[in-house]
Amino acid sequence: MRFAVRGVCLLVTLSALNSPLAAQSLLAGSGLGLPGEALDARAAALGGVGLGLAGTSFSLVNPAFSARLPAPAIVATFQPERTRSDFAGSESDFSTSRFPLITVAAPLAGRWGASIGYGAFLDQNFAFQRSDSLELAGERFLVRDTVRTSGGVARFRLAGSYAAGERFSVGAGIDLFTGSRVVNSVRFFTPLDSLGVATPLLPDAGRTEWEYDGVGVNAGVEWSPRNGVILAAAGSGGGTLDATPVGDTLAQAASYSLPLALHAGGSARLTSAATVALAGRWKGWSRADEDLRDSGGARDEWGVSGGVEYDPPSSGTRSFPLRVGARYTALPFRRGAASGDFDFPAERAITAGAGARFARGAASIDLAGERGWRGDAGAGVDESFWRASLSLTLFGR
Amino acid sequence: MRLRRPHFLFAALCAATVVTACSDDIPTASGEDAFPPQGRASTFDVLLSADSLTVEVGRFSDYTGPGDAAYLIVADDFGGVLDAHALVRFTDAPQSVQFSSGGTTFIDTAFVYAPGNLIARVDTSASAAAGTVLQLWAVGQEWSPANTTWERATDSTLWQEPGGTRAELLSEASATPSAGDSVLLPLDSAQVARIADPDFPGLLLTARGAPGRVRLTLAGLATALRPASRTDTTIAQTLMQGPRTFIFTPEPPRSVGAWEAGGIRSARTLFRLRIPDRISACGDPPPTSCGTVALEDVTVNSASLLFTPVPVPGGFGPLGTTTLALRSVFEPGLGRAAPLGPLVTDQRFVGAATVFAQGRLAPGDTVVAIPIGQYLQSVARADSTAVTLALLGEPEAASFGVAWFQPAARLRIVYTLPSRTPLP
Repeated sequence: MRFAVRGVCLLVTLSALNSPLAAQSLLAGSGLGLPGEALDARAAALGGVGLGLAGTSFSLVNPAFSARLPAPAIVATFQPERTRSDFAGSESDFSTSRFPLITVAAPLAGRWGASIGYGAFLDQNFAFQRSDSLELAGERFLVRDTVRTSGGVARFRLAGSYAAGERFSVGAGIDLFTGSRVVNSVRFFTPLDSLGVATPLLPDAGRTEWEYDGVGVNAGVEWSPRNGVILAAAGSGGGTLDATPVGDTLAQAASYSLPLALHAGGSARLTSAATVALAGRWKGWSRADEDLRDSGGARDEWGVSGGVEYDPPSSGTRSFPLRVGARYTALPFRRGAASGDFDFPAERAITAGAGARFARGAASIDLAGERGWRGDAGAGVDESFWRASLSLTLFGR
Repeated sequence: MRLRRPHFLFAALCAATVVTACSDDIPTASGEDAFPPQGRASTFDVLLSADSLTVEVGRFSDYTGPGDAAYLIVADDFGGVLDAHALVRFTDAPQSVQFSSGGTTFIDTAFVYAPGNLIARVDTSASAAAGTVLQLWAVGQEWSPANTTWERATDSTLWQEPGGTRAELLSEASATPSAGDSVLLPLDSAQVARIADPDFPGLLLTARGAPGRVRLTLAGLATALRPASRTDTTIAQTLMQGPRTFIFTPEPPRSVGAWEAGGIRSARTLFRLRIPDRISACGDPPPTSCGTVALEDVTVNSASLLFTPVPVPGGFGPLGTTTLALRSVFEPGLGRAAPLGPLVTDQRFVGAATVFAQGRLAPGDTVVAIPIGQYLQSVARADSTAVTLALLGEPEAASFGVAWFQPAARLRIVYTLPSRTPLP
């Protein structure tokens, strides 16, 4: 019990310390933002396979995972990323770090289990800027406009699970969507006439904030038809994501349909040391196409992931698995522009990673590295990124 | 206490997170095409000149005099009218001379003065001194620095000669410095000794030649002392001025209708500013009828009250730069005694030495703009429709010349309409 309390405290602390969603991509300015997956480093190293894995996997995909936990566990995943973005012929680099996943889970009495997780859902951190010149009060000024949007939507998942047998478990729960979107608009004036004594102009600054909230449900199953093989499926959806303005009577509220999301995946042990994992996912974002008609629209998101884990037999209490993988995701939102909408972008990545388990499995560290690409010229944004994931798991044995 | 290894690893993760979490860059796209059309701000400027914009409450003067000034004025027929003379006395003459010789320090109460120079530093930017000659006279009668005027030497005695009783002429020099900003008025050793005498009534500095008005300060009387015991030894000495003032005639003129600010009498004009509660939604002049927007809803990027200078007669106009200020006025009904409030200032534009809410009137300026942007915005948001302000020169008596302006001000406002980037 004490471990669980500590775990929840840690979850709250880490949630406050850093957002699960930090600036990742210029595509965060398209539609509702850049969708994020709440995966741990093991799943990230396997190309994003977040369910149907042997052993423990804490990704916020399948609520049934907690039924097979040997002990209460805390998992925190830390994810630094560096991105190079080519936008309209202009290259820029940016870096970020975030917690895409924080989970506390525990087996309960009997065959029950429970988990609380906090993870990424939509990233909305981006900025646009432009320059112009204006003649005001008899002077010419360089005008710089910046619209900076920060925030996003995170998912807080409460789930329970039940092991219906040695080989079958089910889980279900609710998803509470939370977050905010803050738009800061600033206009700066710089005198262009260096010979004259220009009147200084105060900048114009505006701020609008919305709070997000929404409720959804989730469910999942996990089945091991025979030793070394695990199959899993999970789904979530329902409800709407509501954006309510905070303290601004002129800002408009909005409501977006939350997508139905389906995940399926599994793993199979090929040899005593090698396991292959595959997963696919589909999210019905096209439900929001009508809501987003003026900003490029939306399509269904789908993706496939695959990877291989090599965990050689080791003596003693330690093991050091190695992983490689790849993934492809058709992203749901695209840039809209006055000149016409761009193509819907996709994200590709190759992944690799390793793990280390210590103290008879009481603690583990998993690392993942990803080299990925998003969009292309047709999408209006062409990005490449390096991403690392570090997950630390502690079991309360 | 030693941390167990898993706990150590977790602590290391948290520490790494804290360090790296501070390095977020926000992805930023540049260009017109990327910018959301609804997020583009619109900035306009308007010039309001309605007669009802400003209404005079009163014009007041005689708050200060020459005793409040940090400078001296000498003038001769400037503007065909103005004469001004400076008076100064030296009271700190040394009673002994101290010198060293062969490692021994000597003090000699017997000494003689060497020839010297009275050093006048001329503020050329605030002077009209071409062809003007400064003359240094011995004053012919006692005078009181606190009470002397053009006619009076003290509060109970008149000058035998208006403008200060002159004894003999001691020195003269062109009022235009040949180099730097100093004018040297040479004095022989006997004159220096007389000036240093505590019973000497003082010096009178006048002007002659071409009409001029000279603003100056005295940097002292530079001389040297020769001890009686060592006549081959000369010790440099500067006698610093004691009481000093200046007298002038006539008094600064009062305007018939013009607004007054600054000058040796610290003139001020109180006026009521009626603040528009609504403003054009598309600038000035509006290309089409576009309606209005509440002033409190826009961002005032700058706002300035524009004052138009008019000539000041009698040689009392400002020379050089005059600093003008606007202050809020408490209880304007008290007239000349109405207490002044804080500067109508924008704190974000306070520089190292210059307060932004002040304006500067330089020679040849046709309009003086005094920024009041943030003040205007705050007043508009406080739902005030009119405020009373005082136009004055600051610091008080900082300039001799008084500024006059047309009895109405215009209001120029640069503002940005509120814009909101909507949700997608």
